[in-house]
Amino acid sequence: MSRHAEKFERAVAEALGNPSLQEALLSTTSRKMSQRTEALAELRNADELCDLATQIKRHTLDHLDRYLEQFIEQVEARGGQVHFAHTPEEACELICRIARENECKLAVKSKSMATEEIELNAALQRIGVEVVETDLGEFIVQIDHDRPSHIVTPIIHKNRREIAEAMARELGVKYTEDPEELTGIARRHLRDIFRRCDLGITGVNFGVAETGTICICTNEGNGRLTLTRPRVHVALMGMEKLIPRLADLALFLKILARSSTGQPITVYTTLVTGVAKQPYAGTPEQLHIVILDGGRSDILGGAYHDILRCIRCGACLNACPVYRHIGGHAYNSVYSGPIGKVLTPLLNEHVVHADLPQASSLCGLCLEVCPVRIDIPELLVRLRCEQTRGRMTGFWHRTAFRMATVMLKSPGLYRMGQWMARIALSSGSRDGWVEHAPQPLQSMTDTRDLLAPARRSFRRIWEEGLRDE
Amino acid sequence: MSNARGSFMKRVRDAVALRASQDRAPLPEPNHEALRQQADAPDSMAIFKIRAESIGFNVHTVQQSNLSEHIIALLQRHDVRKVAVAPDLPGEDALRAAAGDELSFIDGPFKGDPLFAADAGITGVMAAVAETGSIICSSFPQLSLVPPVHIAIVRANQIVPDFVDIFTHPAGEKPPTQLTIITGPSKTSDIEGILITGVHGPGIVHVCVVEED
Repeated sequence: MSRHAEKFERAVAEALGNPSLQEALLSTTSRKMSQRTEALAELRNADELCDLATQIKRHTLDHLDRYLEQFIEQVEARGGQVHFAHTPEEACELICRIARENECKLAVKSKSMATEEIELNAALQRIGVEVVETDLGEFIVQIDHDRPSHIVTPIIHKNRREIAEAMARELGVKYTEDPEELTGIARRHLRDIFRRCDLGITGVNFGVAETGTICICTNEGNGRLTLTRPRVHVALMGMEKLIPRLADLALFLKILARSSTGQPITVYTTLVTGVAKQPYAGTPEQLHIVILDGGRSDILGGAYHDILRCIRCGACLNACPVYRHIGGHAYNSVYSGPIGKVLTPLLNEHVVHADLPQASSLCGLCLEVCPVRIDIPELLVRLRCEQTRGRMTGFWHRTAFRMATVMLKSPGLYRMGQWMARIALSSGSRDGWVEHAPQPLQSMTDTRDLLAPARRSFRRIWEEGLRDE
Repeated sequence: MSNARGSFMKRVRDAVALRASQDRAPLPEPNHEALRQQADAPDSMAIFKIRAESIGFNVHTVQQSNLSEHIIALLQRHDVRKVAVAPDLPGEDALRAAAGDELSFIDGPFKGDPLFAADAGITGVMAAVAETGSIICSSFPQLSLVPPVHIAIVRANQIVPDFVDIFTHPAGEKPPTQLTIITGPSKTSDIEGILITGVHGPGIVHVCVVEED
């Protein structure tokens, strides 16, 4: 077993053995799922809207070169600057250069998965720029030296006691477990930061090609403060975030928050279009949009093309029976849950996390809840296939499947296999269930009981039935 | 064209070229009626008020002639000492005239610290949307964001039924530099899923819908 696979198994075992994590995961994800269902039901034609959104995203990706050109042209025509990063390292370098050229010392950040992807905080800190996360969850993650475990609700894994301890320890405030007081402490602490900051960093939820507009969705208001206080604004945008027209935004805003948190729309949905000719109070003097490739152009046009439709709503995480048990940390990657299982190996050239696509029962819930209809189970099977061919899976794994292939192709061998299984399993069965199977099935019965083999196989019944007739 | 842009775009072009032309999805025609959730009905205003209440705004229906008095009463209710008023708000002068001595006004251009000391911000809106009860603010963004209380003045004719009515601008028209759709008070449920309002933005938002006399 590879080191990564071992690490993954250990992390899974740890998560499953943590009762407070189990409770937090289950209650939060269940609540989000039911809120999501209700919010989508408020729409007159949710299915039609999701189909339309899917089609628009498909079209945009199929013509991404054209829409990128249009977007760039529009941003530049309105006084914004566009930068291009092929790799995460290049993106960090570009943003560090912008910080240095403008002598920025204190950066505020609004929650952004793309900046997590490129590990921007560490890069800025290396050149002496202090970076402060301003989303409440991300702020707590940052002061507690932790990692986010959900792409929308980053501290889904933490309870109030852990948060209270982190705040008291790191900020030197009085210990309190009251969520309202804890929020107040964070607000006051971050207000001072917002007053002094000189660089604002955000992600981008949607980029509109037609107008060069970027759309940023938040609930707390930190995103708006990040956009309005500092004199320099850097927005990091994955190249797949584009939509063609402003009118399409009306569609995507109707489904994003509904699918994500069950809100009709996020509290603050901000559209930034270029830089004001005479910057008035509350808009930055400079707007830099850094477009990130980071492995996306390798996915584009290939077998996993569809994964680029993702709008990062997080519904597949909340729905996934695996995520709901192991949480986000076990995946040990920026993107967790079903979307992470596909995206992470692809963005990292399968080098790490080759085990992630295996961690799925292929139950299909992620496809069912996806507002842009990404067939994640299908993509997972493709990844597994590729990894098996590329000998990225373990020897026993490959051997077992090779043996299964031989057996399933031959009726005689299949019959013999059935006969052997019946003998092997019958001795240990009780009331129709096998609690402890002998090797090589032993590990299967560690976590579940197996149904004991029927006394008469279906084949036998079929043959006898035919004879009776 | 910079080198970085050239090689970046080449990678995208090469990748897109892998898609066979018959596999490429066409762009759906704009179909505003499919998107529309809220019909253009005469009761848009009533629907706006109900939805705005349900997302946590405090909604008031105010006669134009009472507007200043009403705002002053709201400010008193929240014990507001320092207020910042958007200079482009119609009736700003009347408000100043009606205010007593205990209320001080923070003057623009709203740069730097003074705004952080404000107890309330008062702004107009660019539009309001009945579909979700949202208000849309474009000028002086910090006034609807930094003070703990925000009072928004909505004129009846600014209420549109659906988001579709906001985003279907005539081609070529330039959207404002910054525009925010505000849908409820600032909130979070990051800590154990418990809903808390007033995180970074205002926890209290009053929406005064002005009816002409």
